[in-house]
Amino acid sequence: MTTNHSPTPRETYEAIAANIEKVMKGQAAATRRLLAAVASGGHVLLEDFPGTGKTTLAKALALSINVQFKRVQFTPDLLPSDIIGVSVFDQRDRQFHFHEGPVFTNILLADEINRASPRTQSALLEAMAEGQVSVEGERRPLSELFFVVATQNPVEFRGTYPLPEAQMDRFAMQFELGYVSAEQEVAILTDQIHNHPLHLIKPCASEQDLLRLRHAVMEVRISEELKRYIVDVVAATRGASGVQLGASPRASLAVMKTAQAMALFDGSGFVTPEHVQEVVAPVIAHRLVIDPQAKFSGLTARGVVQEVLRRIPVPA
Amino acid sequence: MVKMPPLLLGLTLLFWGWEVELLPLSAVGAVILELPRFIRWRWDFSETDMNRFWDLCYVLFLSALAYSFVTTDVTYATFKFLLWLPLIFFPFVAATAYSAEDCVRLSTFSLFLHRKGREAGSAKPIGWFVSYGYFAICFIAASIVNARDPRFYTAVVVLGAWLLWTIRSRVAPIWMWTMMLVVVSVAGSGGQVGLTELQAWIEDTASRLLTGSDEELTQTRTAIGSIGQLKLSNRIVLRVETNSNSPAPALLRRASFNLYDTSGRKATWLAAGTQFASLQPGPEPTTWVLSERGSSLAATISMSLSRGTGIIPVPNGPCILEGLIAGVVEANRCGSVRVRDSLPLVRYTVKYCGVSTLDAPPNARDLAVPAAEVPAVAQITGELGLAGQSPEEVMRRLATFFHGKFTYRTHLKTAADSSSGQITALNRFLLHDRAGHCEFFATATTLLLRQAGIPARYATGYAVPPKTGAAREHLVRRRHAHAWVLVHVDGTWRDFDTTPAAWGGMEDAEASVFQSLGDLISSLQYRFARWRYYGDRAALINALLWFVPILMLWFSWRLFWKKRRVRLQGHRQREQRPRYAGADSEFYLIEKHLTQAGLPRREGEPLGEWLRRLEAARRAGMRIPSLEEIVVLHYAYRFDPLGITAAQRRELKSRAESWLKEAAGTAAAS
Repeated sequence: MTTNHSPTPRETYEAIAANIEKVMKGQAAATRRLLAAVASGGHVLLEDFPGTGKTTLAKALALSINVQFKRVQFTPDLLPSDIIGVSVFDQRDRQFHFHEGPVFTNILLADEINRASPRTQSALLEAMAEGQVSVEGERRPLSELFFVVATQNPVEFRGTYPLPEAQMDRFAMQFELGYVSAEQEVAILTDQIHNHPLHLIKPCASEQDLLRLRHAVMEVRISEELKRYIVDVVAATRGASGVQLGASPRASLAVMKTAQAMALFDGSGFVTPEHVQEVVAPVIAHRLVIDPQAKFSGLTARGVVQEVLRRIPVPA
Repeated sequence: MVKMPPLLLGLTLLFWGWEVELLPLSAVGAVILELPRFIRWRWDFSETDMNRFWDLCYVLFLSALAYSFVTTDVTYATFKFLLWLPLIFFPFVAATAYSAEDCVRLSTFSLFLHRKGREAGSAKPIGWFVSYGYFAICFIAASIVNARDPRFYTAVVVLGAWLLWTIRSRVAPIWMWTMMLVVVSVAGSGGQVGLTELQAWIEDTASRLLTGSDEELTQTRTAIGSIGQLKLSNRIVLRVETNSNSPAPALLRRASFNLYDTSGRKATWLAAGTQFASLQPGPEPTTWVLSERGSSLAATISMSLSRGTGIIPVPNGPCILEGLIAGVVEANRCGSVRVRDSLPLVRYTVKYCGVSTLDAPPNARDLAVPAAEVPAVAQITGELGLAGQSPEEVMRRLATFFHGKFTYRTHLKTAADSSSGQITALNRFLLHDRAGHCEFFATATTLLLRQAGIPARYATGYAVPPKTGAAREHLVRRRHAHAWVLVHVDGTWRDFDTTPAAWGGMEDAEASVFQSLGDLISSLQYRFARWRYYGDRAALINALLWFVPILMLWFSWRLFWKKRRVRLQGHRQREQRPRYAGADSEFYLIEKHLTQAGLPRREGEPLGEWLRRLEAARRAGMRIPSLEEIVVLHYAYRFDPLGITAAQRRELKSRAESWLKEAAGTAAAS
């Protein structure tokens, strides 16, 4: 990569996607979603069973971009200061010095986020929403490129704390990886006979490339009609039966931004209804709070979103 | 969902009317149902109003159901009731047709969901479903008439095909659809004929296996000897009208019996010589002469007769039956008159003379007293000194004896009350209890007369009560069923009733508080039947004139309070959405074309997904020219806020046109 040839935003996307593909076999859709969140400035929550490659995907992304990357393994005894940082008294100059926590980075991998108590989970709220942390009354901005990839096991698993709704709303997207096909699993085995392919990954994009990608996403055009469609879909989740808490306007915003990213990935200068529909489920579903009784009778947030998509007439 | 094709529902209703012979009524209904297609005004009904309309139909439905089960033979009630379904649900269907907005929800149809529906808010309207449901209801109701007529089946096939045509799959070719329709209708026709044959065979076999239905005439089981309360219903069975100069007959006979059998657990009266001989109609086809004897008295009797076959009660000594519409009228030597192939409501004027005209002359059977009853009967005969007296004197003494020393009661004492287990019930009645119901009185009187050497028979039928209130008819209820004696005096059979006269009053006192309501319903049914079968419009209109307004007033008050009529156009207050760019894209012509070809785009389905479905249809053999480039251009035109260049706009237009041409070409080729 030379300085006189800077890749186009779409090339950046394709390069990162190809890099991740080397490690994550058969997860092109998940990669696309993850990058859409990165490109639109949102954070991602990966939820799946242990061993499906959540951490590997997050690490592959971090290693593909030549930026600072930190990882926090969330445990039940983790404290907010373990993430944000702490002021320590220096005996020599008799002053407090702030020791930055792992949150001061470009990419933060919050592994198994729901193993920490809600208190610690909440420490990330301000950082994720506003790109800054306030410690001891002092506002400390994070770097311009700040991106959280959190992973978690399904909430029903032992030793987990469910994320507060407010925290859930901070994640632009949540999606599962799912099990890959048998052939792809065989390929994974073959790849890892000698060493993990993660070790072979080389960065293929710089911080500048990524920021350029983000700016390009903002430039993707979207018509008034589609904005209205997004609002209609999000609003419909609020009135759907069996839903206690519908999606917020922040969700509408996230749908629009990620749809713009998807349009850019497809080389389109404007958003189409397909792009919107593609991102609605991963962007909205995790924000809905389903009525316990409805949940018991088999209603899922994903199902609510699918039903809404089916019902609201899509512009064509 | 596809809307019902024009005129189909109206025609189906007409078809029903034609089958049930209510053509004028159904024509009015059909016009009401189809009119909304031609006029612009509507009612501004809300969801709650539709709920009320449904509730009204529901109430009508339940009342009709209850009514038909109360008033009709249970096996026939279901059928009769189904016949009227189109009428019952008409208000709701008409309301749907005249409603400005489709506000029928699934919740409309359930009282339970009314409430829930309000909470859930916006369920999908399913107004289209109402017309389909009504279509089916009309069909079912029309089929109940069971006309064995090829026209019925033809009409069913035509109407059914009409509906199916509008909702057929556009993917399959028309010849295949037609062929399937022909196959199905021929198979259906065959099945129908086969079923009819099967039914005929079963009926034939069953009638050979079972005994005949005239059993009632050859014997009558009495309640003599049974225990407990006799319970008789208030249902009106007969209506007797008389003109001013002729008194109403006191007794209407159904049958008479001459043999008293005490061998069974319950005493039974049997009759011999019950063979019916059919009569020839007199000068007019509705006049039947039973006897040439001169008659001075007349009464007009109406009764409902399920299946148009049964015994009709007549006063003693019937001479001429007038106005009786029946295929066959038969009489037997026990004084019974039977009609067959008549209407469900028979109405006839009987002219009678009060002395027997049909009954066989007395013989030895009419003097026989069963051995078991002889001791008691002989004892009473002795006490009263009946032997050797003239018949008039015997009858006078018996009447005095029963009226003075006996009481009427429907409650029968238990067997444990009696001192000895071996004495007969009649014995106990005569010697100990001295209380009982008409069967006891009639039986005892018959046997006492016989013991005194006077031929006597046991007769059953109805006692005609006096008119009550302002009624124009004598209402004979089921509880007026009665038994009395036929006594042979002066060479003829006369009615002789020894049951204390108090019995009528006693039974009236026990009449249920619901009797007047039941009478009202019965009266309505009767007027309606008279109008239906005898064209007596005044009878029905009289009844409806005061009944319908009450119902209508109540309903209007509930429904139309503060309601106003709206015009269809001005009313629509739907949120006006701004017109978005690209609404004139030629792509919509393509979409329309494919929708007509049976491949419509679903509501929430974006074009990309739809194209994938079209691709699948193409792989399955449909010829659909490629759409990809057109969709790309169309999308740019629609969703790119920058718009497209004039050249691209032209390209979109030309591509779409050539696509349509190509599609039309392949359609013609296939």
